[in-house]
Amino acid sequence: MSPDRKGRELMYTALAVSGFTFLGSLYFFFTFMNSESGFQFGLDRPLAWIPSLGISWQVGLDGISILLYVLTTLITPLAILSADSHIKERKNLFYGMMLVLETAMLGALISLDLFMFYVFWELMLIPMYFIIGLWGGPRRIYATVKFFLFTMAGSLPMFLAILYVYWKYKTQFYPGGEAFVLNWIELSQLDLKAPEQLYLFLAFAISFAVKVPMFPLHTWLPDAHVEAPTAGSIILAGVLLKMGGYGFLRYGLLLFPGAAMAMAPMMMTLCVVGVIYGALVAMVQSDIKSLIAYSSVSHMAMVMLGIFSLTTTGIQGGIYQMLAHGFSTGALFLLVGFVYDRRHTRKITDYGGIAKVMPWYAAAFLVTTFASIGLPGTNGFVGEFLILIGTFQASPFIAGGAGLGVILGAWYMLRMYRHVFHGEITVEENQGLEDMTVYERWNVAPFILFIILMGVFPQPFLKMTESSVQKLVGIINSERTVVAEKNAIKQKLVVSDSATTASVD
Amino acid sequence: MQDLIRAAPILVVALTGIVLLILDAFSSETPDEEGHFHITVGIFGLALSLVLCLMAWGKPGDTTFFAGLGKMDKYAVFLNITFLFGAGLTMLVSADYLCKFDVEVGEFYSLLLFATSGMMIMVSTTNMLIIFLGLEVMSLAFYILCGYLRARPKSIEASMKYFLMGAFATGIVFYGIVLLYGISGPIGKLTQPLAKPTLDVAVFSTYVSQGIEKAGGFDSLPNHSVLMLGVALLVIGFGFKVASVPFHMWAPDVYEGAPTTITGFMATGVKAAAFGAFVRIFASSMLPLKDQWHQAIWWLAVLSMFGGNLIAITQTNIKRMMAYSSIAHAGYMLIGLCSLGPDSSSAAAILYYLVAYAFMNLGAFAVISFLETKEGRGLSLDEYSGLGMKYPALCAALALFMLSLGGIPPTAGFMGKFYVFRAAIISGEYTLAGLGILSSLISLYYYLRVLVRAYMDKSVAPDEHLPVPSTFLKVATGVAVVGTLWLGFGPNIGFGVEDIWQWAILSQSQIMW
Repeated sequence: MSPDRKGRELMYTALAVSGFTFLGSLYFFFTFMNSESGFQFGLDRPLAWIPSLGISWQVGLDGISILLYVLTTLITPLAILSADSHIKERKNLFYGMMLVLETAMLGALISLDLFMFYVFWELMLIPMYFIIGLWGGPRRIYATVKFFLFTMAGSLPMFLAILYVYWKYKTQFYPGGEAFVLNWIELSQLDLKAPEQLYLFLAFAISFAVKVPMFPLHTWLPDAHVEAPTAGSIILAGVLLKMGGYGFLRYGLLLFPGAAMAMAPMMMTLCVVGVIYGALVAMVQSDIKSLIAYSSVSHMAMVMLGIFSLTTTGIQGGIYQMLAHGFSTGALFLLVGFVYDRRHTRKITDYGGIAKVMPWYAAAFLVTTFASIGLPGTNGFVGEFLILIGTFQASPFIAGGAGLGVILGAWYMLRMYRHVFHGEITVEENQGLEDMTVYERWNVAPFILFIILMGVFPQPFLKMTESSVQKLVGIINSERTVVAEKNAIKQKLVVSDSATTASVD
Repeated sequence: MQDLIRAAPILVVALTGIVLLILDAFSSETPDEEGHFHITVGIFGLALSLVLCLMAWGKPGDTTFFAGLGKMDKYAVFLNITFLFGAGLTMLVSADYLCKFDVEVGEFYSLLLFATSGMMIMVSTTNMLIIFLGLEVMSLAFYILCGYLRARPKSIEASMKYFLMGAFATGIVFYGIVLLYGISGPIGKLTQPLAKPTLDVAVFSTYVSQGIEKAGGFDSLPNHSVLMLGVALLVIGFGFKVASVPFHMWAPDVYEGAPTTITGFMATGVKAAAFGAFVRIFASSMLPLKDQWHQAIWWLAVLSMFGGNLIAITQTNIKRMMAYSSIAHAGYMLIGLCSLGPDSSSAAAILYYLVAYAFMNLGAFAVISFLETKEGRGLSLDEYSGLGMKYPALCAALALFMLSLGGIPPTAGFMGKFYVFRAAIISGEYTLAGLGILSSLISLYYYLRVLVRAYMDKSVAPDEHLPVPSTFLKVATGVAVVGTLWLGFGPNIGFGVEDIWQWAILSQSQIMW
């Protein structure tokens, strides 16, 4: 058996495994009960893992995680399918790493135990480290070490915060006992003081913010994307970044609603800076992949904006935009990979007018570009629209800034599209470019399908997230009333104080 | 007879060493076969000792032997099992190593067993003098083992350096013990008129805690400066033995010069034994004095973590890098020592860390010893380029060990750190935990560099004739891999993380009260 042929078989095995996972996840997708705000498909009884520490295997899906779960199981086989053209050596290791990565991502999404979540969260790093470092571009070692160190630097404070939360829980509920619990549903009952909450929130937030990545912790992302192989970029942009947003929703907001509320204005400011900054930097990129990477920074900042608007609409929009971004950016990286395989360059100036020789390719690229800039009829529009509504409710000023980011987004994406596809063919080598093969068309078709489907029929997807998000917002709002009451009492005290002083005078 | 049964695990190991010495005189096989024969006998002795240890574990009631000088309690058994595993893995790996460099087998395995018995003596007692005795038995064997590669100047240098430094360190420990012995009488007499001077850590603990209570504070104790000096000398002496900054100067040179397999055993076994004794003394007899030594250990921990990790980054020789890494790991364990308290589980955390460290570090040294080719060759990081292609299985194992040393889940190193940092948080050592986290981030850089070299550098060295790992080495690496993974996420099905943690807790309960 020739090495190449053997590689194909490895690819098909990995594809079959991840494909079955996808089919299995469809069962969850179709039997998901929209009205239920709690967790579904869980075990009746958590399996004890390290009982003396309360660490157990406890899983479940709710409206926040179900869509991301299906996104992960769908994007992974598509990424594996795309890998065949550019992964030429050590295929066994590559496909193994892809499957480990999928396991880790799904594990992080379904874990209801903080410890297990952390384990999976860290496990995501190792395969990605190897995927970038082994099959990446010329500066892959720099990029992968930077990626690893940034992410670890983010998650180690979270590790300490987990230990702290966990010890706090023990002292509050089981003083002197050994019954520890790391299940975050119970941990959210914790009564934490405001400064405590703030520090813990920041420790969690830094880990998630690196992953998202939020300005100013985003610098690893362009490097990682530019150096990663196409399949790695698809997973990275399509799913891995979403873990940050998911972490904020699941842990940042729920465990520390008070601190999240207090930090929301600052976070939103950072987000809007990220939206505009990402767009401005994307505008001056000469490398297509690096342009898309910076557009990711901008779009993910948009997602975070929706989440930190702390309104039902905004958070739903954030989740929806995560999906939309997963499909559109995943597709963009895939498409860039196609021309890179042919021409081995990603410079915008090396292309021009290739719509003439690659009509199918140009059409597919156009649809994904539209999705990326949020044109109505694509899924990007629904997400961005909801986020902007939610943000407007929270702060009209910031919504204005985000709107500017959207306009800039349209500008640089369309400019790039024009330079690459329109006009005359300027570079001689591009005359003979072959259009997408059947294999490639099938590879990109699911992305396009979901971009349109989710753009035209958003309702079923939004319905799935609704009740869980409403519950989340309910928790935050009740915290808001508590804080408001406390402030009112303080005010009263101050007023009565001044009243007494006045009467003494 | 009871005494002999309780001391049996130690005696078996020492006797096996003596048997090997005698057998060596009569052997006429080729060096290769002789080595395998020695290993077979040695492993048999270790296995027998392991069985005896396990039998001692379950025995209720009195565990002392030889008129109270020795004590085979659960704490001792737990650590002894760690030593036995460490010694076994080291033996298996050494077969290849000695063959490769044409070193005659001779006393090598006997010395290894004597060193192991020294470690076992060190932790299987509550008497400070016996601790010292064990320390000497262990150290003397290691002085010779370090210089076992007689043809290499570096090995001789290592032996010499280790001997001089070690002699000083043991001298300092001894002087500390003497001072404590001397002061224990007067302090004991404060509360009990008939008190005699004592070397027993448990009795010492009662004397000191009652004395402090009676006198109304440490500063009102008579001769408290002598007591302070004794404690300080113990900290310094053990600081030397566990290679913590600023008493680490000997470690890189000795680790580099010693035979690689011995380096691995030194970094794990000696460290475990030293920590075993250190914790036993400090968790019981020194706990009433925690305010006095806490600051010193705190600084030792911080300096070791940062010193070790920062200097490791600049190393180009993997053995030196591992030496600094081992210094840093001593720092993490010192965090546990710093968080000792009546209601903390930090002694158990240290025990867990020691077991985890034994597996991952011995595994790493097994691979390193295999990759070493000639005089000093195959040890520089540059020579690791592209090894991932040449030895896929061994390098995958090395990658696992490196990730585990860096503390990435789901590996043993992560669980070890989890328990240690948890103990620190529970005792309110937030700053220390934060600094520990920061330094373990720094450490990732150089652990990852090994992976980068082995897997991502394409500049492969010219293809030489590739040696094939022997079955012994494969078995040893396999055991280390299984241990590293199992201690990281072994589920609760009879022998997982939970069970080992429970054993550590049980062991701890025997030294703290």
